[in-house]
Formats: sequence, structure tokens, C-alpha cells
Amino acid sequence: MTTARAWILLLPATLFLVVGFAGPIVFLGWTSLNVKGGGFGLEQYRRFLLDPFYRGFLTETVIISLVTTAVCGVLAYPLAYQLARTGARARSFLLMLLIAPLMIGDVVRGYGWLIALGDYGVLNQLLLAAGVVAKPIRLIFTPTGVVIGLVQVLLPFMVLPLAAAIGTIPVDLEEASLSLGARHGRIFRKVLLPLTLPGLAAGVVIVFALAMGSFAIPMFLGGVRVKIVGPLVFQQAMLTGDWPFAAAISSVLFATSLLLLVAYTWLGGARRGLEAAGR
Amino acid sequence: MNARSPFFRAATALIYLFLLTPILVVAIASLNDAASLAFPPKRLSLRWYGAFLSAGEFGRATGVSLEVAITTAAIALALGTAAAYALARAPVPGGFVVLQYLTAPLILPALVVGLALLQVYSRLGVSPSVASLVAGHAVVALPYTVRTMYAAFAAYDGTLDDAAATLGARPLRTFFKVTLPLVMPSVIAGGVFAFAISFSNIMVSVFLSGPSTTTLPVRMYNYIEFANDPTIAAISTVVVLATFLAVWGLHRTVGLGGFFR
Repeated sequence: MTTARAWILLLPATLFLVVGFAGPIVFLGWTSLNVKGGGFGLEQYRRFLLDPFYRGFLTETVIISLVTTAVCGVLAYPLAYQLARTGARARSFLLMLLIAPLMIGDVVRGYGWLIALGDYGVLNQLLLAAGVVAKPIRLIFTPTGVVIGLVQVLLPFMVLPLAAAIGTIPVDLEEASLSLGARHGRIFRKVLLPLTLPGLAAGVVIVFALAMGSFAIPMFLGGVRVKIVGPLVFQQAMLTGDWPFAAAISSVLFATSLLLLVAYTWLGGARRGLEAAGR
Repeated sequence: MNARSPFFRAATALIYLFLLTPILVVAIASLNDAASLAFPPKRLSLRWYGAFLSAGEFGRATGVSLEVAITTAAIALALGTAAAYALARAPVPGGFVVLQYLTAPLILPALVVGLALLQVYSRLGVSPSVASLVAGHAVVALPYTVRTMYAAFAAYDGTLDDAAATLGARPLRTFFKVTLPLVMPSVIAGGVFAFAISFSNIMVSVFLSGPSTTTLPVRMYNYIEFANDPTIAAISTVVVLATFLAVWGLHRTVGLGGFFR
């Protein structure tokens, strides 16, 4: 196929994203620069980033996203390792357990967590019955509840790149370390962890970006008490009707994710370049 | 890590249980006879499935969601397959950047896509319709078809196409008679994923749904806001079963190994 023909095939998808994605985002950026009473300026950004009330949303969202990413990283390693080191049939089955929840959607899962973590929900009933707690522990409408929900939703995005990274490491390396007397913990620190850093970086970028932009889970599990940026955008746009402000918050959210994506792509490209040079 | 140790196996089983918790809980709650979400259910019944089926609003919303998801999957597949074929099989300068651009909506917040499109629609005077909803969904679903098809075409043995060409087949005929049938499993997988992404989407729909184009997730979300009975649990369980059935079907036919790369 010639390059010219390839471009003809690329054109529909590329144009579609210009009209349906890039164009509207640019328009969003333009909207965010509108100032009350006419004119242009950074007033909306100043409000979001300097007003302590709104800045609280950004701070809490960043903290919750960081904690979610860290918990996902810890939980993802065993799953990824198992996925990478098992046979093809078992792997396909485990992938089914990982991917099906991903496809079910945030509303169903948010609702499920609401029932599971509620004051008289499944978890509290079990804890009360077992005599572990005297009165129900508060999980919904707390940052902890939001983190639990987000970890469940985003964990597969950490597991998949990690499993791919572990899959490229020959088992021989681990067996060699074992035969030389290294313990499993040491092999993890000295062999697995360093070699899977690129996969971990991919998972961290994806999970953090998706957590920052999350909407349904914080709506269900955070209520109005946990300040998350996604629901704030919805509230400002659809309930208050302050479109320039909603646009400014969205632009900050978008710029953060774009920066992460570019940094990650660049790091990935640089790594590939180094590998190619090494060969 | 030692994959064979009982401790390791127990740990991974617990994490999978955690992943499945909200889904299992919803299924149990849907069978509760009482009009509350009390746990454990005192009496079991299927009455909330009846409530789902008899409430016209949910039926209509399901219809809208199906229409939107099928159209979205078709568009995302057509655009994604063409683009992935070009990127994987031809020397495109800057192809890596194009691939990143086409899959960018995977990481960039879908919420922003919804709001941005809503503002453009409102500026241009476009009223909410299935088509305006599909445009937003297709943006979010495209990365899934591009990635799936790119992996398929990258692994495809190009000498088969050369053989067809030697035997006198034109490029278009070669594509439809040789290439496409061989990558059909990936086409099906990509289509199913695009469909599921659209069907379950809330972040885009919450901005673009109109009164007559309310999707199922938006309808469910609005219902949960003011009612607290297990009707939503019944609907959720139907969605969960359908999704697991579809993914299980892929697992048995195509295999899910493609997601591993």
C-alpha cells in the first residue's frame, strides 16, 4: 500500500476526531476565557485555582487519585504476575474476570458499592454480626469510600500493562536468581520491579488520569461531602449553568491528562530509542 | 513472587473477590422481596424484575441505549479498522503520533468530551438526538476498535495479501476476501467492546442525553437519586449477566489474549 492510499484510509477517523473531539475541546478552551459582563481573561482560572473553596476540590481530587493509584499498584502486581505466568486457557479466564467488570459501567458498580458499603450495607452487617464493631462504620460519603470504588473500577487498567511487562521477562531470570539463593522478596525487588517499571509507569499514568476525571463513582460514593472535580464540572455546567467556569475546570482537567499522556508517550519513545541504539 | 504458594493464590483470589463485590452484591439485592436494600434479604422474589419490565421508562431507555450502542459500534469499527489497517500495513510518516492521537480519548477525560460537545451543539443549535449522542460515544469508543484492529493487522501475515495480488486480485478484493475474514475474530472483539463502552457510558450521556434520548445509565442514575428500591438492582443484574455472557463468548471463541499486549 502506498503512503497516499494509507492517508486516504486514515482520513475518516482523523477528521472525525477533529470535528468530534479536538475542535470541541478548543472551543471549550475559548469558552473558559469568557469573563462575566463581556471581554476575555483568566478570571475563571483564577477563581478555580485561587479561591480556597474551589481549590479544595482540586487538592482533594489529586490526593484521592494518588492514593487510588498507589493502592492499584500494590494490588495489581500479584494479579499481573499470575496472569503473565499462567497457561493460555487460565489466562483467558482470568482476563474475563478482569475485563467484564470494566465493560459493565460505572453506574452499576457505583450502585453496587453503595449497597455494599452503606451504613446498613453488606459490609457493616457482616462486621456487626461478627461483633467486630459495635456500631456501623461510615464508609459512603467519605474519601475512603471513594478510593475503594475507584480502585475497583481502575485496577484492570493497572494490571493489563503490568502483566504485559512481566510477560516479556524470561522465567529463566527468576529461576536463575532462585538457584543462586535469592528469596522471592529479593527477586521481586531486584529483578521484577526494575524490569517492570515501564509497565508500572503506563499503569500509573492511566489510572491517575482516569481517577482525576472520574465522575460516577464519586457521585455515588462521595455525595456532596467529598469534593471531587468531575461532579463539580457537572454541577457548574448543568445545575448552576455557569458554562465558562465549568469550561475552565474542564480545561484544567484536560490539560493535566494531556500533559501526563505526552510525558508518558515521550518517555516511551525515548525508551524505545535507547533500546534501538543499544542493539 | 511465587505463583504456586497457597498464600499467593489466596491473595489473588481475594483481590478478584474484591473486583466482583459490587456485581455480586447487586445480584443478591435484586432478589430481595422488600422495598429496601436491607441485607441479607429476608425473603426472595423476582418482583423487581417485573417492575423493570413493566416500567415503560426503562424499556424506552434500554431501546435508546441499544440504538446508540449499535450505531456507535458500527461507526467506531468502520473508522477504526480503516485507520488501523493503514497504520499497521503502510509506511506512514508520523504514524506513531497518529496512533496516539486516535487512541488519546482513552486516557483524556470523557467528561470533558461530553461538556465540550454540548457547548458546540448549543452554539450551533443542534438539539439532542440519537445522532448527536452517537457522535460523542463514537469518540470514546474509537480507541478500543483502533487498538484491537491495530494489534490484529500488526500480527497479520502480509505474504497472504501478496499471494492474492500475484493471483490477480485487486487490493479491495484482497482486503474483503482474504484479509478481513482472517482478522474477523478481532473485528468481533472490537465491536463488542465498542458496544459495551457505549452501552454503559454515563460521562458523555449525562451531558448529551435529551428528554426523548435518555440512555439507560442516565435513567438509572436519575432513578437512584430519588428512589431506593431494588428495581435498579434488577436492571443492573440483567446488564451484568448480558456483559458476562458476551465476554464469556469472546473468551470461548476469540480468546481474550489480545488484551494482554
